[in-house]
Amino acid sequence: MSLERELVRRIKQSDVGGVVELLVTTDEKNRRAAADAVRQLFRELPHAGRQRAACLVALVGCGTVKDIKRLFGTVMVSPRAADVIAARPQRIADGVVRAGIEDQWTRWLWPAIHALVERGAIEEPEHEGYLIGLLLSTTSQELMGLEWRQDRLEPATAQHLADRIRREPALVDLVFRALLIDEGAALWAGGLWFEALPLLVATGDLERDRVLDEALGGYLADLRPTSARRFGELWAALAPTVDELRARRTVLIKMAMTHDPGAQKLALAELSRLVKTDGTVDALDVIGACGTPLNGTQKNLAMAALRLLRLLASDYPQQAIAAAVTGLGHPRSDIQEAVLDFVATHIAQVPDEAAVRADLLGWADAVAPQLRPAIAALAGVQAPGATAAPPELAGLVAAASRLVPGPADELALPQAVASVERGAMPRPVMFRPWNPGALATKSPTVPVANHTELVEVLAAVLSGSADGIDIERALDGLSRFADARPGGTLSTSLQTHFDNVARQFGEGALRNPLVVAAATWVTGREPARLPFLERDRGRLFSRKRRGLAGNLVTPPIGRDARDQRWAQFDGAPQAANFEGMGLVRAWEVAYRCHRRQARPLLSLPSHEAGWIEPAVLADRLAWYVDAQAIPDRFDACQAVLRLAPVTTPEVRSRLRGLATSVAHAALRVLGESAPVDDEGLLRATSTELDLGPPVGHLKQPADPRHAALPVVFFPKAAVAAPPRRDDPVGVALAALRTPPARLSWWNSSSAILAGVTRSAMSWAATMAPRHPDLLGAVVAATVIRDLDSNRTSDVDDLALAALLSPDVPLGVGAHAGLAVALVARNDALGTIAVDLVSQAATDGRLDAVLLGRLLAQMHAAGIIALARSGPRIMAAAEVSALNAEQGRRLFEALVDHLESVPRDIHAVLDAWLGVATQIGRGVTGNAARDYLEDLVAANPRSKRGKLAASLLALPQSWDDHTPELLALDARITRAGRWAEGRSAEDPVEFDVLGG
Amino acid sequence: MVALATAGGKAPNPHFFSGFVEDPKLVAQGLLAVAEVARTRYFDPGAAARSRDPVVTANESVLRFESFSACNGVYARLDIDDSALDGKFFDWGTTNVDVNQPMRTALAGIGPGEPLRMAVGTDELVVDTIDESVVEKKVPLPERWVRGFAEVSVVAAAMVLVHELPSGAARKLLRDLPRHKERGASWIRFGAGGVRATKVPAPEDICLAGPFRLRSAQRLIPHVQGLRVYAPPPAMRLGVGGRRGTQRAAQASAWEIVFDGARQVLVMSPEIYRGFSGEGAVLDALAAADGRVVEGAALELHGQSVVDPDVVAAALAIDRMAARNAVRALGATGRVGFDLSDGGYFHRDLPFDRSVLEEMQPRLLGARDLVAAGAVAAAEEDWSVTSGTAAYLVRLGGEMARCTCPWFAKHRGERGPCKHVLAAQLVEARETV
Repeated sequence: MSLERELVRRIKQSDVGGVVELLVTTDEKNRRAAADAVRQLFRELPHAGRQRAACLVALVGCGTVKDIKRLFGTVMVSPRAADVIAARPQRIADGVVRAGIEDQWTRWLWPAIHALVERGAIEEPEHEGYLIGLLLSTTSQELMGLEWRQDRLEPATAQHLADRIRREPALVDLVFRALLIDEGAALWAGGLWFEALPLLVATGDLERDRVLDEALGGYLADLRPTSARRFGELWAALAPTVDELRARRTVLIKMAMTHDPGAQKLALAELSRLVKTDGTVDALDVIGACGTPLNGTQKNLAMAALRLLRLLASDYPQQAIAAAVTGLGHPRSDIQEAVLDFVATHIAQVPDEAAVRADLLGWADAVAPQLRPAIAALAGVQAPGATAAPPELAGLVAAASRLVPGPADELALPQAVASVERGAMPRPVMFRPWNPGALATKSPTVPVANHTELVEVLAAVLSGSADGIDIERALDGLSRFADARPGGTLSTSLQTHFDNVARQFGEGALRNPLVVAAATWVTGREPARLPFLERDRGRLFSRKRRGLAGNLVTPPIGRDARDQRWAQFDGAPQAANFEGMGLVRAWEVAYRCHRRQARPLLSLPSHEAGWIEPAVLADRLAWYVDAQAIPDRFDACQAVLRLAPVTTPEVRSRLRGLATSVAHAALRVLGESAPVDDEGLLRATSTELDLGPPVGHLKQPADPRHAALPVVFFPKAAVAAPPRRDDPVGVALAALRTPPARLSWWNSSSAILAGVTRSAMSWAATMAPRHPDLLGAVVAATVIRDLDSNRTSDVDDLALAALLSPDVPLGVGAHAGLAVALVARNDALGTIAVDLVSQAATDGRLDAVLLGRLLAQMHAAGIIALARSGPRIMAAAEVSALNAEQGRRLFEALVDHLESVPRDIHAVLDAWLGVATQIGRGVTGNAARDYLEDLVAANPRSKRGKLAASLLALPQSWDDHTPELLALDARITRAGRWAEGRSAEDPVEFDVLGG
Repeated sequence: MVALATAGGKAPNPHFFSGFVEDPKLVAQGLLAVAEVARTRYFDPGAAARSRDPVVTANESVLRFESFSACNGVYARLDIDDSALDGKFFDWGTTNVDVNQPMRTALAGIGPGEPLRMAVGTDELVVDTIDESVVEKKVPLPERWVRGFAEVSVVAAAMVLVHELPSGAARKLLRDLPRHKERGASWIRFGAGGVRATKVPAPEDICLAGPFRLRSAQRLIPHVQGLRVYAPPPAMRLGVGGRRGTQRAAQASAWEIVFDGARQVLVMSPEIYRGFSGEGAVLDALAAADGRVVEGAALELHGQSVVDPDVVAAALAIDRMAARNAVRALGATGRVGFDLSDGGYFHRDLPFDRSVLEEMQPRLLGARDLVAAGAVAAAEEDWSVTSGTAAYLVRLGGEMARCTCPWFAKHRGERGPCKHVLAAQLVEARETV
């Protein structure tokens, strides 16, 4: 019988010994000849089982090193494979051993390699893979003494491992070294070994002292905290005595000084136990070690360190205070307060008070505002007052009077002055986003000037690095140069980009209208017709549609568990969106590139943020009239959507003279009642957006005060009836119930913007500049589904960031978006929320009372928790006295409208106390005071009770009106900036055909 | 991998430096922080990296330990001044050693009052603690690190000091670093209300992409005396795509944590998924450098803590500007590093010549190939560059050179010039001469 057939027979009999015998008694040539059959058999065998175990040995004996590296063992090879390896030529044997140690997928060879080490055939490898292999060898049938059960090995237990150590005591040194490896495979394989060690200690097979030392040593090996934690479990399992602690106090002190919270926790607990028993042995070292946890961020560790310091402070007050003071930089005010209490208790005992005071002063700016008077008192200095003198009222009144009348009339300056004269905060600044002064702050958009520039901007669009204005410039450029194909170099450049698009997103992406428009410019070939224009229009709204229609139709919402919170609010999940309309416009451009009809787009923004000045639109329309050209319908709709409703009589007159439907639509935007037949154009003229009631089943708040509040989670466009499906603007506006974030770009076969949501969102944000509140509403609607997720979303970031400009008014939708961002888990979104609260409070746009009410309303509806809002509002409030006052008013409004006592109310109260103390202003509203008094009455010694009492103790009236003066100053500054800006009588010049 | 043995030195002494450190706990934690950076892949924090190999340089009076994160997006360096050392510098030189588990255990186990002795030598780093002596042998230097050294040198040299925080504020900043990975760029605002993160930068805000990447410094908080922040000067803080007036583009920044007699510098790449080795900042310097002058300047390097361009200029009989450019070009090859604290270059002796380093720059090599193949042609005011079957138009004028290739379209000049721009620049320079 040939070796090959005999090998296969013995493998099928699971005869490991027989396989070994065959392979060691033949030569290498015969072994290699049998390899193919063994490989084939290995592929056919189940992944576990005795036959596979025998086959592994056979492969080690006849396969190549490459074969072995490819294998995933699933079971450990028999130690008897060592004979097989030793029988192979030296080169192959060395290769097998090296692979078995260094290659992470080949560590199933460990039992054989270990056997070679044991018999002295090779030296013990230094590579840590050898140690990891040891940990993994718990699945070795022979080494662990495991039984086969229905062709499966029983799993090893801790007892199996303990027995193995008893059989081979020298192994324990390797085990301890292996347990210090914080690498994935070692981590999961090491757990069972940690369980085995106490068993060996219990039976006296392993020295208890050694295991205790190793347990603490694991914490001093600079392992990742998750790896080191297992040593703590080992330590706990051994339940050390005080004597054992005493013998290891030096190690415990070192552990407290590591940056591993687990090590600190264990060390502080054990040192505390030791100090209570032994008094002040090594006290100075223990005190020194307490500084590290106090420098950390964990509350429990900082408190444990303080408790330990209290035990030692009577004998070593100076050193204990020096260590404790570092806790003043802790992010939590309650820790800072505890540190100050500690200092206050012991400062009288210190020999060098001056040193303590100097130390304290170094932390004066780091502590929460409410603690600054206390730290100043301890340091023996005056509490810091206002850093800058507020502006004087008389000067502000005079400055305001110079600005009225003027373009800042709508800032209600006289009313603001009157409010401040009464000592009250002016109402939030509300203005039309198309206010001439606000528009004057926008940078003009420059059309592309030549073919090279057009190719550059197209390349950016196709590469996904373009923003919304880039995309518009690209479309406009294609339209302007539709009659002149690009030259050879530029043409081949673009072809490279088309190839990249196909390679990155698939051939289907070449059907995206943006790509089609660019390709048509190059080739002149007729673009494929858009699916929904030639097929059943009803299918545009089908849930199953993909392709271009997939871009226009958002997918059903609420299909998975994550979406449940959203689903309860939205009953009509399907609709189109602005990006879809943009793509239709791209198709229009593509078609004109095919027809070589060069013309400027009506819809190219004349200014950033998407605006078109009426004078510019009038110029463009005049060009169309002169050229006897007809604007594309979607281009016209988009242009009207972008029109700034501010202009001069002269421009109105020009528009009237043009007498086209687009000109009439523009006039409607400008406030005239010109007739417009086209429904799409008519809808695009809307200047008011009704953020109507939610679509769905929002839980009605029990508190009647909430009924008066607008519910803004799902803004609905001002459309009385569902729009006709061939009415793009109506569809797009109505679709705003479903925000652009719901776009399923990544499912669309034609999506050039797949995965490039920054481009898509940036583009969408330029499409309805008269309705900036939509951006906030988008955030509210999308973030609300992922409040507790740390996932980041470019869409939400960009939408919220677009509101930061002081020249964008913040309505209810924006405040709703801000409210959910303030409580979102996502740090990036939270940071932008802080940016926005801070910026809007400073420039007067923030309606703190509305924001507080919205937070309360969302909490009442069970949508949000409040804990994260506190520190974020506080961060925004620290910027100035005005911001602090807005924060205070926000918190007061929030509590005023809370229907219950949230579990995390302390986070709100803590931040509230911080901002209120910062400006020395307490709680003024009766409802808020009642709420706080109830908290105190419920449990005056609780944290929330104490915080409420502190808030109630703050003054209810004040003479310092710095915040109000700052608010008025900001409004005057805004008015002045607007007044200095370009007025509507001074429109930008527009070159109709570029160049 | 590059076979970097220990390089430099003039004496047969096996050690560049040998002696005790004044603050063992600080130095041990600083070294561990450098090693932690080397074994961390910040772009994919779940995946541990195998590399733990700081490069050690002994200058005249400073010991420097340098590393890159496994993702190459964070550069860390611990500088120990001679004021914090109680020992002797025998020589200058550079070596590359591993920091394995025994070394980490020895360093992490140093307790209060316990001594630490170090010997940095030709083939090894020796650490003696009260309990044990650990020797780490030299290992090969990853090629990516060499490219990273070059990039960081160029990037850092363009930075200026923008903020300085005292101990308390510095500790607070380090303590409050977020734990979570953030994808986009973050910015730090140093304002009246303290230091806080922001996502929408004002001109004076400093980019800190992935603030969690600074967390390796948290183990040093108890020792922190202050923090210095370096960033490109305002004139170099451009908008996205190199344009002014748009949202600011992410840029690298450097965070120097100050201790008694030591400093830890962390240079952060502009975005967490961007490694320094691919930034392309060195390409202009490499392309423009005069090879003979640069090699002449290299001969003037003798382990200086600060390489003085005036001395180089005098030695080579060239003007100061030429000497500065030559030293800058040496930085672009990694043979000198930039010390932000001193505002000057220090000698890091990598055993490569310029040509080896240039071979590690595929864009530069590609550009030279294009020039050699005659693929660059003048096209009116632009340049036409034929690359394979494609052709691109390059514009060298204006604020920034531009190209119609996919690389430029994607990065818009934020990651150095593409090979087509480099090729056009090479041809233009040749024609100008």
